[in-house]
Amino acid sequence: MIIAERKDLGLISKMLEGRSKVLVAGCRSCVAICHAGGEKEVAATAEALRLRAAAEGRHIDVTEMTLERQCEKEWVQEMGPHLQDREIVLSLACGVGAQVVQEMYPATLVVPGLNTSNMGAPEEQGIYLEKCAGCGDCVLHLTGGICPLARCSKSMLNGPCGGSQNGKCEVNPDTACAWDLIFHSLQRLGRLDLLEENIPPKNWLPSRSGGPRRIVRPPVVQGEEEKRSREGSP
Amino acid sequence: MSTSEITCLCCRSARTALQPNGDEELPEGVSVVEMPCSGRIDEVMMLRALRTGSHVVMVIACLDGNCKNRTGNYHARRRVDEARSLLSQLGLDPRRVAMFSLASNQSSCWLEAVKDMRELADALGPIKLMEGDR
Repeated sequence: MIIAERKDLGLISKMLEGRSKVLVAGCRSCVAICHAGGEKEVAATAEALRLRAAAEGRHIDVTEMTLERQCEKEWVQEMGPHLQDREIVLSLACGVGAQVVQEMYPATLVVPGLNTSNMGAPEEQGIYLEKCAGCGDCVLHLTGGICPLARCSKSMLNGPCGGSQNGKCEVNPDTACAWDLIFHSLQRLGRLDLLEENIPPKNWLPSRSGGPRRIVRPPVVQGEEEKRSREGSP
Repeated sequence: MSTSEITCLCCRSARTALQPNGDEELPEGVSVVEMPCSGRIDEVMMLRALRTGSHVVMVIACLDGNCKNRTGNYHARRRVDEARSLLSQLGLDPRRVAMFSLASNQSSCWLEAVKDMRELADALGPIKLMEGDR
């Protein structure tokens, strides 16, 4: 899932300056799980904006809605009727969701209410850890299911480094050494032999080297004719 | 006489501390919103109370470990912290929201807390921007 955090309300207020009709739009997917942009956070943010306006002695009309997913056009279509008289949308989705909304409704300014951080998972309630760097060339089969790129502070492919102490990282003593985790995982799996394999320098071509990545899954891509027939046009 | 508005968001169990016999008159300017459990009290309710005229908000929950739903008061405490953080970010004084843990027989503690919060409410007055540290 995508992990995000709410921006400072002072900054959000600045982005909304001069606008009196605001739609706060949340997303029930990843950002709801990390308590940044779900229904509750939408309600709290909207109420905070109303309170600020009241404190300033001005009128603001804040409406709220939460989509199932802001990153898929099929769901974002639901936003249309809610946008009619809105001057600005404060998107409490990840950066992907905010962009999809802006793309679908180019006449209305969409501003981000969250800082999108990483791809991770909840460790426990309220604590989220980055797990995947999205490098496009996965090596989890060699590392006992633990990503050295995302979870090693130095992204070392052949670790550990000399700074690994008692299973902790020298960069931050609260961070587990990814290579210590990898060793113990491989030990449990009876595959310590994999540590003898030298992982060669990474191929970064599938990463960001070619600009925004575009993944195509041919079995599910619709042809032009199929698109037309699904949409019902001749 | 003070005209400060104090809203008490209160769990049903701790409510007894506010009105032990159920019909005592509340101190002037104090309104009580009773909830089944303090775990239901969220930052939206606290901020809305301030927006609609309250000068301060008191969240009243059971003593730690005494919640009949086990952890409702812990939820409430986290949400009070969150509401205070939101107030700071907005440029408002975070002391406007405060949490109190009361057993049902602690009426005197409640009256004492109301006295303190009234002093604060009088000092702060109605909400206005830039009264906090920011």
